[in-house]
Amino acid sequence: MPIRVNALSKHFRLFKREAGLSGAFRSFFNRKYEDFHALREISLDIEDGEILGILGENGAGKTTLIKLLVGLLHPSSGQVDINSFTPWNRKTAFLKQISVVMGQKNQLWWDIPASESFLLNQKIYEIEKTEYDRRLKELVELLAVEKKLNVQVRRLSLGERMKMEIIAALLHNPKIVLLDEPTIGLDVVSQSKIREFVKYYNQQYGTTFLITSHYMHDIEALCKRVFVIHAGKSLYDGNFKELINRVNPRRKLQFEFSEIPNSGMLDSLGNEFEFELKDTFLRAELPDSDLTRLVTQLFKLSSPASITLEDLPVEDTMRSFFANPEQFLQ
Amino acid sequence: MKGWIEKYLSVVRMTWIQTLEYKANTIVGAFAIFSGLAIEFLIWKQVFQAQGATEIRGFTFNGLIAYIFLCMIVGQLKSSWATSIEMIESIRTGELNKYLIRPVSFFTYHFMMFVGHNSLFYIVYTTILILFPIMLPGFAFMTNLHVGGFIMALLLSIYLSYAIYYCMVCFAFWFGEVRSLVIAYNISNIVLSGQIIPLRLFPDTARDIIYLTPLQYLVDFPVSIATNQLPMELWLPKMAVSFAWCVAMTLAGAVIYRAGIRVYGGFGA
Amino acid sequence: MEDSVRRYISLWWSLFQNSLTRDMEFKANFLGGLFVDVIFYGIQFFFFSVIYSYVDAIGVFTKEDVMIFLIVTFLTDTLYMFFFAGNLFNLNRWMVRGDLDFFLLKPVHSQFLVSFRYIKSYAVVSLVILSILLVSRVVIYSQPVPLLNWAAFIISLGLGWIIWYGVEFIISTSCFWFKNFSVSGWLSHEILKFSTRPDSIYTGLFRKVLLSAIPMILIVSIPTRILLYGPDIKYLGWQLIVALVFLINSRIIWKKGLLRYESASS
Repeated sequence: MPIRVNALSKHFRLFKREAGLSGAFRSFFNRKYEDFHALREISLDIEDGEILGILGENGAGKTTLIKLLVGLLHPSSGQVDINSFTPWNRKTAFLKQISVVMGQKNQLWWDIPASESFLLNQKIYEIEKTEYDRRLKELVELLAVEKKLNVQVRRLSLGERMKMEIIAALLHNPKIVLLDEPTIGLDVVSQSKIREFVKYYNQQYGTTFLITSHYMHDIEALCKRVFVIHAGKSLYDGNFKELINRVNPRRKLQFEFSEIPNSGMLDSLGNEFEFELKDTFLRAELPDSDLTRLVTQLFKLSSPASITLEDLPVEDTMRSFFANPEQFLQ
Repeated sequence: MKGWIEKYLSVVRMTWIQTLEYKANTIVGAFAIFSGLAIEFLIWKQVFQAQGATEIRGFTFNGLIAYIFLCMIVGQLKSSWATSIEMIESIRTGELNKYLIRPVSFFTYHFMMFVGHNSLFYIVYTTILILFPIMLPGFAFMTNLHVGGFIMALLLSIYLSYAIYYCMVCFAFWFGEVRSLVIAYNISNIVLSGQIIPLRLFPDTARDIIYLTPLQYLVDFPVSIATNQLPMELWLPKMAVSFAWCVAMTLAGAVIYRAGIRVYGGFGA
Repeated sequence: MEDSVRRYISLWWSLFQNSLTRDMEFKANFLGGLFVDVIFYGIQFFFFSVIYSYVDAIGVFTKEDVMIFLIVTFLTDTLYMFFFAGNLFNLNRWMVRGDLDFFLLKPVHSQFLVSFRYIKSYAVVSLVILSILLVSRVVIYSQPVPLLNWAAFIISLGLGWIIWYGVEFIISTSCFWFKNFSVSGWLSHEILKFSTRPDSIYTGLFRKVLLSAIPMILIVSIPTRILLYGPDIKYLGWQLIVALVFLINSRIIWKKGLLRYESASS
């Protein structure tokens, strides 16, 4: 089910509230509205089996985009075509092919065991009994929640609850799954369990995943490709690594000398590159091209006792990106 | 003292902003009593017609309708059942912690919320009450003294009603789900406090039992003053009893709350 | 068509089982609900016995008739509670909190799901008690009540139930147009009050309105009349027409409301 999004725009009429009690009183009789452009001319193609990360700050338009893709909203203009379905017509055949998991809302019924809600989904999605049993068994084993199936949802930990939500969303074998902040509030172990699962499931079934997350680790681990929205506009569509490189192309080098070279040679290197020297260690944060040249020079000076090369933390990079996104994408 | 007043007045102010935000709610709430009044009017019209009577137990038709109308207004003004349901929820879900860790009293905070939510009704109903003696002269508020007596009795009624609900709310510390209790009380209260049939029309035994409870002070008492059906020499003694009920219920509430807070587990939160 | 009817019946059955499982978790709610019902019934009986201590009959309804009328009122109310109270009443909350999204994402007619999602299973007990009460009151009724009356009564009660659903649904759905219309339950309660009093008290223009635009007389009074005084094809036919009109309107308004929801929410 390839997804084709063409020049999609959405604006809302927002009720403009005045502050204070007298403002509330005035608004009671005379409401003022203003237009808010949540999405402007978004175009996007997603192929089968992709895992696409949708990035953007709070209020950038991520949720609006997702709601449009699953047909919860009508656009102001533009088209979405998902395997020749238009989402907001909400045809039964279309709804059976998609699924949404929201980290901050639950579809499972709070007071009863998850297994009861699964059973209900079997009826709603008309999943054949044998198929249902098979899939349930498989998903439950993959996520290791066999023992929790018959426990009331309210007694589950947050991580277990999220796993149950994911099972409920996948039982009908959807072709497209939208994960909206699936790891929010989870501990590090649960986060990585869910990431591993999504990765495995995607490879096994070729299901398309669209993910929004504030944890860059989620995106880094899962998505080759990301789509960045900023103030309702499409800002970047492409490889995640490349984006990181563009924002902060530098990497961290640590070069350990087997013997300290004479300081004159190092000084002349110091004119050309920026680095820091401590005992037998040389540390530098430079773009790749500079790093290659630096390492070549260093090899000429001395043989290394050890070399390590690492990326800068993704979270930091993305934070500086969102602080001023346009600057990096000129 | 000034700080105390300002603190709780800001609660009232907050509820006003909230109430004004939702137009439809406000409008429905302000005019809700009229459907009940219309039904009462039609039923009693049939009763009077069928019997060919001009008076039933001292009530003329118009006098009876005026009485019931006032009862409904008073009933609406004093009923804090919605606030009570919220309070029970906050005990059940552990949201009560919010009040425990702040320098506010659970009792007063919600009392102010209740007053705040209801004050829009006060405005609408006050208008009606002012128009009342003009539209239906001779049935209520004959003198300024009657107006004053009515307001005094009404204030006592509002407070007493809240204090009774509060006692029930505090049972939630032990039983969690006491909403049914509050709803059942609310339903029976509508009839038993004389809100849709005057207590005077009740069978004698039923009325005698009700006179032993605080229920008569909730609706019947203020309305009897307003409609001049209670001799003036009885006003002060009755107010004293009503006041005594207020004190008794406040104390009872405080005792139950203190005991309850000990068993409170702060669940959920 | 037949297939989809069968599908939705089986779906309803699953929803019922699902709701029952949950209601079993809360025994206190169950007992509390029953307690409230008993108090409510008692108070209504008390109210009418006070009225009837001053009058012999209101229109055609004698005291004996009114007691049966009241049981039918409770029966209708409980039927409504059982099917719809857990749903329509919550529509506003679902909308405000965004739970409605989950309903819309399911491959099932959205109006079906928001109408039948949660069934108040414990109302079954009240239904049984009230049915027994009704039969026993009718058996000792001063006039014989033939089986034909019963058959027509059941149809009439069903039509009244559909009309109630239509009215309530349309009121609840107005939350799409008003921001946070949390008083819709209150509003419909006020309107439905008119159905809980014998229709003889309504005369003139008001009566015409309660028979058509706000068809409150058709919900309880007409079924009771049919049960006690015999079937009347005019009444039944009119009930059928009104029920259809309200059902169709509920469809139209729901679709319009959804359109508004989909283009307005963020």
